[in-house]
Amino acid sequence: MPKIALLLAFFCSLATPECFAHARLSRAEPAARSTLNAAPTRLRLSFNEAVEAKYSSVELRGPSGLVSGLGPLSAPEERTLELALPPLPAGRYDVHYRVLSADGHVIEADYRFSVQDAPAAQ
Amino acid sequence: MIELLGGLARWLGLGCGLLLPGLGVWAVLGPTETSLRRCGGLLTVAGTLALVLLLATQTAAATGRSADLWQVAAWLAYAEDTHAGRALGWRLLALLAGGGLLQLAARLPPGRNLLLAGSLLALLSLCGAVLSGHAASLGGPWLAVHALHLATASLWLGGLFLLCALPVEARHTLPERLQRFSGLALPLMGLTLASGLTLAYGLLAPQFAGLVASVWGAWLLLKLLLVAGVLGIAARLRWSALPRLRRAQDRADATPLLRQLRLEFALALALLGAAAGLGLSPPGGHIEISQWPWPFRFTLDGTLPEPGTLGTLTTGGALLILGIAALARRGGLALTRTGGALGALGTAVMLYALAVPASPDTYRRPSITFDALSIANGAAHYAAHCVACHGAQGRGDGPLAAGLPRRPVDLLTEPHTARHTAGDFYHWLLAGIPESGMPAFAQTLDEDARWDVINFLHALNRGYEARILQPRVMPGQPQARLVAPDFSWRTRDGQAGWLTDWRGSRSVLLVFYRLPASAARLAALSRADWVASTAGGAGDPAGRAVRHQFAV
Repeated sequence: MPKIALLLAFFCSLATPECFAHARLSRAEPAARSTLNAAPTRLRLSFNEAVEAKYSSVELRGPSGLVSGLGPLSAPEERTLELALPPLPAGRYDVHYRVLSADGHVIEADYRFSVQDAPAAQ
Repeated sequence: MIELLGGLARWLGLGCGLLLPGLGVWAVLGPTETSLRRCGGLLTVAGTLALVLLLATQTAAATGRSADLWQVAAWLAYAEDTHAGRALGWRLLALLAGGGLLQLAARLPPGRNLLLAGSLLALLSLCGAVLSGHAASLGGPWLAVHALHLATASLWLGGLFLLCALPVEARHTLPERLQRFSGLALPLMGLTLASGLTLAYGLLAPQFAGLVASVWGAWLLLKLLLVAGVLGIAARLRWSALPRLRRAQDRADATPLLRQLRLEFALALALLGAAAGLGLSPPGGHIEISQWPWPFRFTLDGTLPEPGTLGTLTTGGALLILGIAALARRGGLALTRTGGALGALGTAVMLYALAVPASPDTYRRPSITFDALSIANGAAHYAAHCVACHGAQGRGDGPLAAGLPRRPVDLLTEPHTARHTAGDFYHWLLAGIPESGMPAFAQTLDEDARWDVINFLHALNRGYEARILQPRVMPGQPQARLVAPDFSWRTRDGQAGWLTDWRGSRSVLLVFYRLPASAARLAALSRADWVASTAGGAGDPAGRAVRHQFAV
């Protein structure tokens, strides 16, 4: 019995916390943590593996809460998701994406970018 | 709940999927009494139910709605619209067709072609699992390795099951059957083990620490433990029990043999459970290890350049070889014990030579890419919080350094940085180094800021290495391995991209300028006739002069 308990304890000790990651975001446009001089017109997310656009979703949260009027999510390439953005006022934006990888696993994550007021014309 | 059901479905599906083609192939090779007729139908039905349950759980996980677990329309949409769903659908069809043919073959007069066709279809259903398995992320050849792993495991398990399920009236033939099976099982198990270890290597590399710091690694170790149990029983059966039984065949009772075979089969079923767990967990090489459980880690890069390491490794290796030699002599208990002790001591000495201290964050991966923005942010944080002790260049010569309990290390020199990972730096920023007087920055710098500082230090270190760069790149000369920080760009006409878009595809000349001050220089560059000598790089193995055009 103690041997079994020891064996169980060994395997429990191996089960340390980890992040779930089958497909990973490899590139984002606007880039994570970037500060833009002009509001972006589209959001483009590229992953290291193929993803399923139909079972994926993107939320954008801005200074006034959830941004409405996002375009439909499309997949111009099998590893890329893209959607059109409505005019965005200056402020900080949080992107939340939930994506189904081609291997059937779901990944969820966030990143942020900022839009600043356009510099005054000289 | 959904994950638990998914795990159950994977286990049941794997068990039935492995057994069915195995039974069919063994039926082609020789008489299998009624086992195929009795179990084939049950395995087909159970396997089908398992795949349907897998489809339901994958659908619910994909949509994020638990209610879709019971919605047939949602399953069908998932099977139609997604890569993983389509793969499951094809597996289901192949299983039903293969199982049906095998049932037909078992009930009709013996027909090898029908058996073979049914077995191949069932095998196709089983191997279809590789399309949505972890190995699929590694690329084409790995799919073949995974398929080989499943196919050989199926043949081995099918044969083992036939022996365990031998009818009472045929048990007197068990030794001959086991002898025949054993001849094939050995290469089959060898292939299964070799392909499994190859897959494990592919899914772990280059982060082998994932073996002892992930759920996936725990499942793999459990699976290897069970494999060792199975191999132990198989060896005992082949080289001990079977010869003994054959020697005393007239008065032999096959029951102990059958008991051991059934124990081996039970271990094999447990092994399938571990395999299902592996399928559900992200591979050890693909995860971020956010909590390394040991105070040390093993590294070749960080230990081999240090004086004494090679000597210690040689001593440990010699002890290990002596131990193995003593064990191989089989000269009694005392020699075996001595050999074991020498082997263990040698292994411990070698591991000690390769060990360096580690922190819980040692294997944490940067969540911020090595780009210009992060380095600029890091430079600002470094100037505000670090420069007073570490100095402007990270040499440990800041104005406050002399008053610290321990002088800060030189962050620029390679021997120091090779012993530590980016995660170690993250841990020091998070928790501080009390014995050297470095405070914790957990409250001052958030996670992004900590990685910014580390990226800045990385850039400093790379810049220091660049001092050996020469104007000409010549083959055979020592080169600094420089990776330019990434950055995004956007032109006035709306084109956008990243520096890394060109990485590995063509040479890029970076020109930093400021208008209007640089206008004259840019104009001069555009007029110049550019000739660069390539040194036989990946894109130009021959090495030749290339004429470039510079456009402004």
